[in-house]
Amino acid sequence: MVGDERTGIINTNPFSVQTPEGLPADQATQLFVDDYNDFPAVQVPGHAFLLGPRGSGKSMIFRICQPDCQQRKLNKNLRDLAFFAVYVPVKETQIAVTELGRLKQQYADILINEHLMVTYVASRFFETLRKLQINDTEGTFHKALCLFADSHFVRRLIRLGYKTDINLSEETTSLEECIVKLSGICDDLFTDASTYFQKLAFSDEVTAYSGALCSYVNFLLPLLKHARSLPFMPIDAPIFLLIDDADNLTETQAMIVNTWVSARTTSDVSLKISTTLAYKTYRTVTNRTIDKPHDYSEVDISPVYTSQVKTKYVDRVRKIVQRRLTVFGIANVSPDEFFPTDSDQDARIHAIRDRVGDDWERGVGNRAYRKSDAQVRYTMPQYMKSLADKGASSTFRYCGFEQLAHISSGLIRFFLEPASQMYTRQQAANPDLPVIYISPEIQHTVVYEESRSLMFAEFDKIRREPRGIHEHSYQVRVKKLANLVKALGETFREKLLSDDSERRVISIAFSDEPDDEILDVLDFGVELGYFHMSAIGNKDGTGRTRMYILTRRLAPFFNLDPTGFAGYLFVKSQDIRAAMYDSNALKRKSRRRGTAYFEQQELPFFL
Amino acid sequence: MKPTKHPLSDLHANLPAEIDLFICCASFEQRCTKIANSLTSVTVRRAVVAEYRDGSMASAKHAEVILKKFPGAKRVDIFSSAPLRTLDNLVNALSPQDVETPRHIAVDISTFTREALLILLRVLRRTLRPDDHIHCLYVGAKQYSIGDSEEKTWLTHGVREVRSILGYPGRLLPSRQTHLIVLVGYEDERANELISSIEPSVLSLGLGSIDPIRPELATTNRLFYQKIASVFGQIVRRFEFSPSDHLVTRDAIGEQVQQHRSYNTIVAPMNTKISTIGCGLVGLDNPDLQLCYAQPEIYNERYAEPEDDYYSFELSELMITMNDSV
Repeated sequence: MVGDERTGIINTNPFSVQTPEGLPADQATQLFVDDYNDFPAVQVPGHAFLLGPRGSGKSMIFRICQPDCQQRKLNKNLRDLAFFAVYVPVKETQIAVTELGRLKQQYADILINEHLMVTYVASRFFETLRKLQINDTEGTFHKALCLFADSHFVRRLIRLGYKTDINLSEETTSLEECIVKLSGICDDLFTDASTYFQKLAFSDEVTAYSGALCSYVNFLLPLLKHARSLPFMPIDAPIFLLIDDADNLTETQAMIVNTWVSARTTSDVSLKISTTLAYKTYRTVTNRTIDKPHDYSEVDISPVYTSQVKTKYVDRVRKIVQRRLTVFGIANVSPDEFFPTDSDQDARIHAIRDRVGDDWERGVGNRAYRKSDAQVRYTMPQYMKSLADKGASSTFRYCGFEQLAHISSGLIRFFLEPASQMYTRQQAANPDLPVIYISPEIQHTVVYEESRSLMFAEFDKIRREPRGIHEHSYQVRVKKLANLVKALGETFREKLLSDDSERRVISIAFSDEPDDEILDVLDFGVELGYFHMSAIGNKDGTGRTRMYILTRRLAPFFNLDPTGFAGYLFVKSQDIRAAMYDSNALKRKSRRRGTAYFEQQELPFFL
Repeated sequence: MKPTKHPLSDLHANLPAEIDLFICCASFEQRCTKIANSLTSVTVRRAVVAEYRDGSMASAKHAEVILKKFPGAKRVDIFSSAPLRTLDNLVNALSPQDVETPRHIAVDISTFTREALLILLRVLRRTLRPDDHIHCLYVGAKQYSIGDSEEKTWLTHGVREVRSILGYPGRLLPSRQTHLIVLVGYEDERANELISSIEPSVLSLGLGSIDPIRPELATTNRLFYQKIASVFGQIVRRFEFSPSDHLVTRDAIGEQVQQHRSYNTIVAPMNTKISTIGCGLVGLDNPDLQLCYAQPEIYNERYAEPEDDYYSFELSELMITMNDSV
């Protein structure tokens, strides 16, 4: 293990996972790649949902929105900021503890949950203020905050049932002390309620709750409205509540947040809610739905991994990696130098590229519009075929920055986590040398291990736990998915090694309407990360149809070219259903009819 | 009391001649029948057999094997997906009026999930009398991920949910940052998912290097530890605990908690059931601290091959603080 044996602190690794919340403002602004200008909804007043899978950079966007980063990024004083953002992380076990399940479907469920949430947010608001270390040499800010606290905040809480005789003006001597006290009051309000429901878990009866009960309307909104006018806050600026990872909220809690959204308080308070597609509900506590654009706007930051945005994604990864290398002192090394390709493999690929070019000029083999098109289309497939013909497929090396970026399949998290492991292994291989590159062998080993691990080691050895229905159906569902992933991976591999005009295929679209059984398995695959889902024009050009893209993370396992994304297979439901029951079904069909069986149904243009 | 290791054939030698209550768990692992089948020369007055009702068919099959051994045993449904139902059923099965003030209780902790085991611990502390004796019995694994090479070892895949463990919600203050303590086992993906979802500011990663159950698996364990540490490098603090001694583990965790007192602390037991008991003791003694659990999507059917030995220890530490129970 690389690290300080005495303290146990492991040395810095530029790719190790860092929670944006924990990043100092200077480091956050240095590391942030600002290509989110397409998403003004995040930075203007108005409720907004920010959608994207975990690891797509939502938390980093929220980190940059916070006042310390905004001041640094824009070189402005706090008073001059356009908004004051409060970061509200929703961690799975903090607000949504298991004991709360006792309250489910009881009236108190909503009241207690809302109390927990507003006191949690209020505490985060004061904590945000504390971290800013606002300069108050004159003491005027302290005086103003005490006045606000004693005449509004505490009085309101007493009306809501909180027992206190605190007087902030008398009991605090500085702005920071006052903020800490206010934060502590919110913490107390939060823990009073949590102590109550902890006892409920082991009790047969629901006992009465005797603490204060705070809601958005009677506590949080008035607090934030008043706070906006405090003399150290940004002038006339709204407060943004950045609710991060809202899919971790329970259904009741999501309904409560939706009710806040429906309140349309955007001139004072805007809710910016980040979530994956697994957000539990868009209903409010009164069972009405919130709708876009009426109640909120929606920003989808999911990198749809089509050929058009592929380059943009690779460029973004390159910028992120470059910044990390720079910040961690690996200066003057580009991402491509840090993650080099295998030079011998490059030479062999280059030779094939030249041969493909010569063939094109002589009019031999498959035709493409241009020589360069032919080289892009056929070089890698021919190289991989040459290895397969020699029985040496396993000697292909998945390495080089671009290759790794493609394998991360559109999610930066899947680049950084393997890169972090590579760094550690490289460091262990040469403990006395600084790491200035990752050897191709280490790159390949790590991404191959990741790929194999994703493929469940061997799918058919697994047992899946059911979700409340009979086990058998779950076992079958897993088996269907396993068969389908294997069938598609192997079909794409056969296609790659074929003589078809387009061989670099990693997606399917349906030429007919898939039934619920097929969609259930495919959606299950999306949920587990085996597929990305998108949509393309249907075969007739009369509408759109679902497209499922096999994650490129599996490219090393199936010996595919992760950069290949030129074609889609238009498939029939019956073929996919057959593959779900028998992983060799597609292979048999393509051997019987040739891989062109699928190619014939290929989309004639690319997205 | 420090756990000691014995051959299963000597089980009777380390238990009283009469056990008032025997508690065990029928799971998909064959390991779950080992202790029950070895209780040949011990009189068991009453048995409670927990059985996973939302798990593999193998659980029911193993339950039948155990119930044949204890014909009058009470069968208790427990659920890996529904901890509140598990709690309610355990409370009903072990309620004081139902239990004839047992003096000696033997618990086979081997095949409860870590979550269910900690819930059971909480229930036991509520229901037992101060002069009761709890004997914990544990059969370790001779081999994990049977048939797979060291680098291919896997026990679970995917994480369905990360949740706090019932009875150990902690008192987490909204204004504080999070200190997560993970006892690393053989599940790097599960640990990574758990850490990523909690997003701690400080991560204490425990390496089970003190008296490991299988010293020959130390390299594998270290490999898994390194895989996790390399992902979260900058926030990681390393410490060591014992997979075979709950008290050493309890103290090691306690030390980590003390070092980061200004943080909310969450503990994730991901190693042996003996070390999980150590986590439970810390949780019972520290109501501010939360214990959490990552429920996997999938288990390896060939999870573990049972050893021919077992560990035994009396859990007197549970009694010491039982009057403080919630």
